[in-house]
Amino acid sequence: MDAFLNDIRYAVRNLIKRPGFTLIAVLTLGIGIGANTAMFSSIYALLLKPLAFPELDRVVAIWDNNPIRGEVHNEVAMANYLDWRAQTQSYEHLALYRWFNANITGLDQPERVQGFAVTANFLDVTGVKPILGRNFTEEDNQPGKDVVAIISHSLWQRSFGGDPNILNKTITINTYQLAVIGVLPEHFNFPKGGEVYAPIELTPEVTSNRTLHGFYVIGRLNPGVSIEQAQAEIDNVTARLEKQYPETNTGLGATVYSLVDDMVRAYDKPIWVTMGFVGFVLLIACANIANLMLARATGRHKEIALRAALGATRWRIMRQLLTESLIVALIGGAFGVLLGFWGIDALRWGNPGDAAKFAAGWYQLGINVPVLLFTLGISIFSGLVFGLAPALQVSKPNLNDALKDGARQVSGSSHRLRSSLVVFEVALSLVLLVGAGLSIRSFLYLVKTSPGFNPDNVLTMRILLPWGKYPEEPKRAALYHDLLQRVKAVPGVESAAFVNYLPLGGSNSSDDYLVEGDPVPQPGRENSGRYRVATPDYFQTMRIPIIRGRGFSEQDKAGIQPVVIVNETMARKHWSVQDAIGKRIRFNGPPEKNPWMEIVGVVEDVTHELNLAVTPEYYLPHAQDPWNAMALVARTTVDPTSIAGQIRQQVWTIDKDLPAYEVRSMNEVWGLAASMYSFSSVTLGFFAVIALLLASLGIYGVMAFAVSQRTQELGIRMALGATTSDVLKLVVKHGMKLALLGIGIGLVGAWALTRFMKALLVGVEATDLLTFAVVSGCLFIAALLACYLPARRATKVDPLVALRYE
Amino acid sequence: MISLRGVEKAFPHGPTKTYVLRRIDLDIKPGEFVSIMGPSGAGKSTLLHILGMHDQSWSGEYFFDDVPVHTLDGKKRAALRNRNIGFVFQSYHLLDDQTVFENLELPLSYRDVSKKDRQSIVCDTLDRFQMVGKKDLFPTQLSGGQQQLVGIARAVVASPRIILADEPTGNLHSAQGKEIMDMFKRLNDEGTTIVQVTHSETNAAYGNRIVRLEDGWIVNGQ
Ligand SMILES: Nc1ncnc2c1ncn2[C@@H]1O[C@H](COP(=O)(O)OP(=O)(O)OP(=O)(O)O)[C@@H](O)[C@H]1O
Ligand SMILES: [Mg+2]
Repeated sequence: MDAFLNDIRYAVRNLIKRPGFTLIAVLTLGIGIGANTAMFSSIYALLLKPLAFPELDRVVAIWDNNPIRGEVHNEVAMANYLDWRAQTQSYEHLALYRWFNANITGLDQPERVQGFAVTANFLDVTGVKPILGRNFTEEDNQPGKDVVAIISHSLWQRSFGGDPNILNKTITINTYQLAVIGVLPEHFNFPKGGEVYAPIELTPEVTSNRTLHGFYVIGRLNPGVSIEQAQAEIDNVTARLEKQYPETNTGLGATVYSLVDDMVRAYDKPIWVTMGFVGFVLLIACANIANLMLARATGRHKEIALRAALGATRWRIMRQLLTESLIVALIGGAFGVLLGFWGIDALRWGNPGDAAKFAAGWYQLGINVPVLLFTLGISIFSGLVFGLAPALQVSKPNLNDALKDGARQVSGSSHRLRSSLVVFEVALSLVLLVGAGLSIRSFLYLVKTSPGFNPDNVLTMRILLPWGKYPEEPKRAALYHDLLQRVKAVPGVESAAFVNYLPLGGSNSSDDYLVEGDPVPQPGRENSGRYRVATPDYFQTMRIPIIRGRGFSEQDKAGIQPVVIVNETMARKHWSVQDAIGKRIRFNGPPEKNPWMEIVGVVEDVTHELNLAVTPEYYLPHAQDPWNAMALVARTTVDPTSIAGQIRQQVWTIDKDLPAYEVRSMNEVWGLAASMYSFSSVTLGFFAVIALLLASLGIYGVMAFAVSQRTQELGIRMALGATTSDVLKLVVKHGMKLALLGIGIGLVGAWALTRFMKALLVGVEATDLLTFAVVSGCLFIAALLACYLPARRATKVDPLVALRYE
Repeated sequence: MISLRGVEKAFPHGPTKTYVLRRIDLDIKPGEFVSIMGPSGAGKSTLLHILGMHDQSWSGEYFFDDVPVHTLDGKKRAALRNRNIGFVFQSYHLLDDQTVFENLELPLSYRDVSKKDRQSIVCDTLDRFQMVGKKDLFPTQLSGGQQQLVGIARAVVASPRIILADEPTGNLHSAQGKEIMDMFKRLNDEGTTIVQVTHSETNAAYGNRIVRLEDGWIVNGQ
C-alpha cells in the first residue's frame, strides 16, 4: 500500500514536472474518450436499452415472411395471430397491435397523435403497468366494449395539464368518445411515438381475416425459453396453417426476433459504424501518446538504469511507469466525460427534433452509470495500451549501455516501435478517411441526383378526415376537391394537388395487381407494386414528366371507367412505354370489387425511397379511390413556408376540427429522408478529420524526435558534403516511407472494412476507386507537411555544433 | 594553396567579446603536412573548422587557390569544400547503421558521381586501405584503429586535395595511432596536403611543419 501511494506521489510529481506532455496527452485522450463516451451513450440508450421494460431480453417481435415472394418482415393477419396464440406454449403473453391516426378533438386545437389499437394483453408483454388507473381486460376487446383508452404520460401532461382526475374523463378520438382508464409511465414510448392506446374490436369478421396483413405481433417468452426454441415451435405452427389454408397461407412463415434487435434495425448501422470510427480515433490517440511517452522515456533512460542498478526490479519499474500512464488516462477520461456531455448535446442538436419518434431510447441519451463505467473502462484500457509498450521498452534491463554511454540513448528497437506506431496510426486514419469519403460521396450523390420531381418551392402538409365523421367516399372526394380550389386561390400558390403519400415521406402503399391477358400468377408469385393515389394536378405540381399518354383530369370520376397511370419501370416490365397505353390492370381480389383499370399514361420514375431501387409503381385518381388521409402538395411562387398559415386557415374554414400537420417544404421532406446520410457524412467526416490531425501530429512528433536524435548524424553528413536539400530529402524520405507503408496497409484495411458500411451508402460502391485515391492523396499531402516541418529544422543543423561533442 | 590574412574569431560573451583566434596569418602550400599544436582551448579546432569552411562567422581574409573564400556565399563555399577538402574526426563519426562500404559511399553520394562510378571508386579505396574483407561490417564491429582507418578512407574517397584531421589518434592507443599516422604519411607522399591537430610530438614529427597556437595567437610556425 505504501509503495502504491509512493508510486502515485512520484507519478504526479513527474507529470507536473512536464506540464507540456501531460497537457497534450490529456487533451488528445480526452478527445478520444469523449467521442467514445458520447457514442457509447447513444449505443446504450438507442440500441442496448431502448426500452425500460423489465427483462427486456424476453420480449420478441414476430413477423410474417414469404420466401417465395422474397418478403421478410411482413405484417401479420389477425386469424393467423389468433392461431399462433392458441397453438404455442413459448409465450407468457402474445399480443397484437396495429396503428391508427388518432384525431383528438374537443380540445383547444384539434390534435393528431399516434394511436395504437391493441389486444388486451399488450401491456402484459411489455411488463409495464399504468401509473394511474388500470390495464385493459379481455372484455375490452369484445365488440361494443372498445370505448376505453390508455394515454401516454406526455399526452396527459400536454392536453390535460396532468389532471389527477383524468380517470373520470373522456377523450374524443376520431369522433368517438373514449373513457380514459389509465395513464402510462413517462417515456414509455412504445411503439415509437405512441400516445393513445385503445382496444381492438374483435368482431367475428376481424378475427377470421387471414388476408389483411396489417398487424404487428409481440410476445413475452416464458422464462428459460430461447428465441431458437420459439422459432422452432412457430415453424411447426405455420407449416400446419399452410396445409390448412393453402389459399391464403401458401409460402407463409414467421420469424421471431428479439424486440430490441427488431426495433433498432432501422438505425443501428450508422451508430455502430460511428462507434467503430471513434474506437479507431481512440486507438490513434493512444498510439500518439505512446509515442510521446517513448520519446520522454528516452530522456529517462539514465534515471531508470540507475534505479535498476540500485536494486529496483523490472516489475517495480514497470509499475511505476504504468501508474503514470493510468493517472494520465484517468485525467483524460474525466476530461472525456466533459467532452462527452458536449458530444451528446451535439448529437441532440444534429438530429431532427422528433428523433424520439424514430429511435425509442432517445430520451435517455445522456451520461449515466453504465456510460460512466464504460468510460472508466476505456480510460484504464487506454492507459494500459499506451503505457505498456513504453514501460516494457524502458524497463528493459540494459544498464550497462545506459550508464556507460549517455549519448547513445535511443536503441534501435525503440525506434522501430515508434515507427510501427506511426504506420499503424496512418493506416487507421486512412480507413476512417475512406469511410467518411464514401459517406460524403453518398450524400453528394443524393444531392446531385434528381429524385424524379422538383422539390423546390413546394409546400406539403398532411390532412386527415376522420373515418367516423366522413364515412362516405363521395363526401371525402368532394371535401378534398373543395379544399383544393380554396388552396389554389391562396395568393402565391401556382398549382396544388393531393397525394396519399409524399415521395420520400417514409410511407408507401402497395398491392398486388393482375395484368389483363397474362395468366394469373401462382400464389406467392404475384405482381407486387407500390401505388399512389393523386388528384389531377399532381404530376404537374411535382413536375413529374408524363412521357406517354395523359395525366389525370377532372373527368376521371367515380363510377366510370377506372384509369391508372404507370411508371416507366412498370411499363417496360410488362409491355413497353408505347404499348402500355390502353392496356388494363386490376387489383388482385374479387373481380366485382376490383374492376379493370385502363392505363392512360406513363410517367417518369420517381425515387420514393432513397435507398431502394425503383420498382413498378402506379397511380390512381383520388376521385376513383378516395383515401381519407392525404398529403397536400402546393407549388408556390413565394417561399413555401411563408403561406403555410394561410393554407391551414383554408383547411379550418371547411372543418375547424381537421388536423393539418407535418407542415414541411418538400425540401425539408427530402432533408429528413436524407438525414441519415447527411448526419453520417458530417459525423464520420468530423471524426476522420480528427484522425487525420492526430495521425499528422504523430508523424510530426516522430520525425521531430528523430531529427533531434539524429542531430549528430546530420551534422556528419553535412560535413561530408550533404547540402540542405540532401538533408531535407533524407528526412522527408524517412517519414514518407512510414506514411506510405501506413497508407498501403490502410488501403487493404479499408478494402476489407468498408463493406460494413454498405447500409450507409447509396450511389457509391464500398470499394469506390475515386474515394480511395483521393483520400490516399489527402493523407499523403498531410504526411508530407508533417514531415516537412521537422525536415526544415534538420537543415538548420550546424555541423560545427553537431561535431563539437567529441 | 591556403592563405589566411588577419583572421579573427570571437564569441559574444555577455556585453563583450571573447576572442578565440587573433590576427591569424597562415600559408599552406600544396603537398605540405602541417601539425597544429597547442594547449587545450587554444583555438586549434576552431582554426581547423575555419580552414574546413564549416565556420562562416569570422573576420579576415581566406584565399583558397586564390579564390577569396570570405566573399563566397554558402553554396559556392560548399561546392569549393566538396571539391577540395576531406575531414577526419577524433571520434571517427562513422554512421553506425551503415556498413563500411556505405560509409565510404556517403561523400560520393553528395557529389556528382554516378552509382556505377561510386561502386568502383569505393572498391578501389577499400583495396588501397586493405579493407575489402570488412566492407560489409558495421562500424561497431571494428576496433577503434580500424574505425579510424575507415574514417580516413572516407575522407579520401572523393579525392580531396587537402585533408583536415582534428586529433585523429586522440581516441587510440599508440600502436593504432602509429598505423594511422603511417597512412597519413603515405597519403602525403602521394601528394595530398594534410593539416592535423595533435597533442603528440611523435605524431607531429610525421609532418614537415608545426604551427603552435596559444590563446588564439600563432606563436610560431607561420
Ligand atoms: N560556441 C562557443 N561559444 C563560446 N565559446 C566557445 C564556443 N566554441 C568554442 N569556444 C571557446 O573557444 C576556445 C577554443 O576552442 P577550441 O575548441 O578551438 O579549442 P582547442 O584548441 O581545439 O582545444 P582542445 O585541445 O581542448 O580541443 C575555447 O576556450 C572554447 O571554450
Ligand atoms: Mg579541439
